[in-house]
Amino acid sequence: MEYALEIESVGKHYKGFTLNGVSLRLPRGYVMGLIGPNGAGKTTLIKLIMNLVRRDGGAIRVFGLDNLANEAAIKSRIGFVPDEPRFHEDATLEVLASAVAPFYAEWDDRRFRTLAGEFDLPLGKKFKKLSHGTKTKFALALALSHGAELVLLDEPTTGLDPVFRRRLLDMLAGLLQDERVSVLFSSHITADLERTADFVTFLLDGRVVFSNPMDQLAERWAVVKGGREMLDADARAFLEGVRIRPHGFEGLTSRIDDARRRFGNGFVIERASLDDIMVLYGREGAKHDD
Amino acid sequence: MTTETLRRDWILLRRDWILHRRALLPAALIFATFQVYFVIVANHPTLWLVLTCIYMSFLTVIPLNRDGKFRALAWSCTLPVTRADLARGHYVTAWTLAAGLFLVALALAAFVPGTKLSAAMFLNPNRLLLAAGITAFILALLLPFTIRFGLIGILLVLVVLQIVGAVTFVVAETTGSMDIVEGRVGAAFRALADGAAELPEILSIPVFLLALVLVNWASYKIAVALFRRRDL
Repeated sequence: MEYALEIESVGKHYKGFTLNGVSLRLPRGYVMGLIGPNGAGKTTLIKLIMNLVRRDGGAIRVFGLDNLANEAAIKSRIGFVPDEPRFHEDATLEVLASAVAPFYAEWDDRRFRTLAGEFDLPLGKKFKKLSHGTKTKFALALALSHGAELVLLDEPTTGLDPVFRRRLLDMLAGLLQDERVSVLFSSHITADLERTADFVTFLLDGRVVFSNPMDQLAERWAVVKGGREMLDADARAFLEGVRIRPHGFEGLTSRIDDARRRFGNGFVIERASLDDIMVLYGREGAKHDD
Repeated sequence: MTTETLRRDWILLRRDWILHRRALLPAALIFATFQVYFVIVANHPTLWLVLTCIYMSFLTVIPLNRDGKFRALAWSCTLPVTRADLARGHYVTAWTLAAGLFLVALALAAFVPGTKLSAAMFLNPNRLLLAAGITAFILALLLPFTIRFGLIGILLVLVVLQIVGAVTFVVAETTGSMDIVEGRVGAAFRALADGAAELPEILSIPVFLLALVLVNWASYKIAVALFRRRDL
């Protein structure tokens, strides 16, 4: 299989945070969602791919090429939308686009203007006058105007209104009509990912909990619900995370068949959503859950 | 140097012009206004040359400082160029600006009524080389530091220099050795200035030019090494 992105045992150490041995693979023509709570390492991982921060170890290959040794060639094939787009604030969007365009051999000015129209971008307005959502739309228009084969989106739906959020997701689905294009999309809004992603990678405290095809999640993860009195040490051993509520508990398990045998009657076992996994994984049912 | 390298240098220079012209043009106007006054009052060509080169060298980091001010450096690094390209782009922009400002200053020295200077004074090789030497030396110091630490870094250096000066002053005053300190510092500066002025004469022109190129090349290599270590 041909991969758009391969990350092997990548690490990055900051004071107070370590991204530890992260590995994942994104096949060409697919969308991968990167989920995790704030501070899990999603933005750091995307910055590592873009070489905005230096990695401490491991390897990152984009289209089979090392991302450091072939930096310029790789970046010309990547469309990148950061979580907080920052451009020269006293420049208009028109000026910013004219500064960016010559860097890309495949720059398509007609496409940029079409997208600007679709996104209602005020091209004559200065960047500093824009809302966060419009800044993101501008970054998105730039990212999609040079024939990018890998689109990296860091929390792109944050700050967008629901109507545009849906349009963005439809647009991502549309991008995949071109089988060359792959998308890595970080978000903590799991509903966005459930709608679009083919693969999901879950990051927690700087390490990968899982990186799987979306359809395998339903087979692998389940939520167990029951009364608080039923949550003994034996039951906890089956759970990867648990939240205790006033009238019962919710636990996450990846041992669905064993759990069915163990818990049986009196418990409800249902398919886990991405939200359930993100909220419950690693949680130990502390008192504040009550 | 490959065609691709030249192409990248050109689009980086073009980008700097597009994004920073709104700040560069007023700065150039203020520079020119100051020069109109300066070419009238200056009566020593070398002094004029040295101060003009220092002034214009500090103006060349305006694009870099604006990138830092808008925190747009990360965006620059997402463009399809390497960090080495970006660093080299800053050197190309800085030298282009320096050359442009120097031409403006020369024109004013030649044409402003009442000036005691003339463009002919500076069209001799030694003075041109001195101008190039001063500019190369300042840019070689300034650019790596600004690329790595931004405007805050420059301010920090100035603050540290102020502190060193203040401490030296206090120590010299309290130990009663002010005359010795003044004498030695003054002598060091005079030796440096004389040395710089005589350097083009001592070295042959090709050797002096080669030295300038080497200083800038070393500075560029340091800038690249520092920039590669910078997390954005």
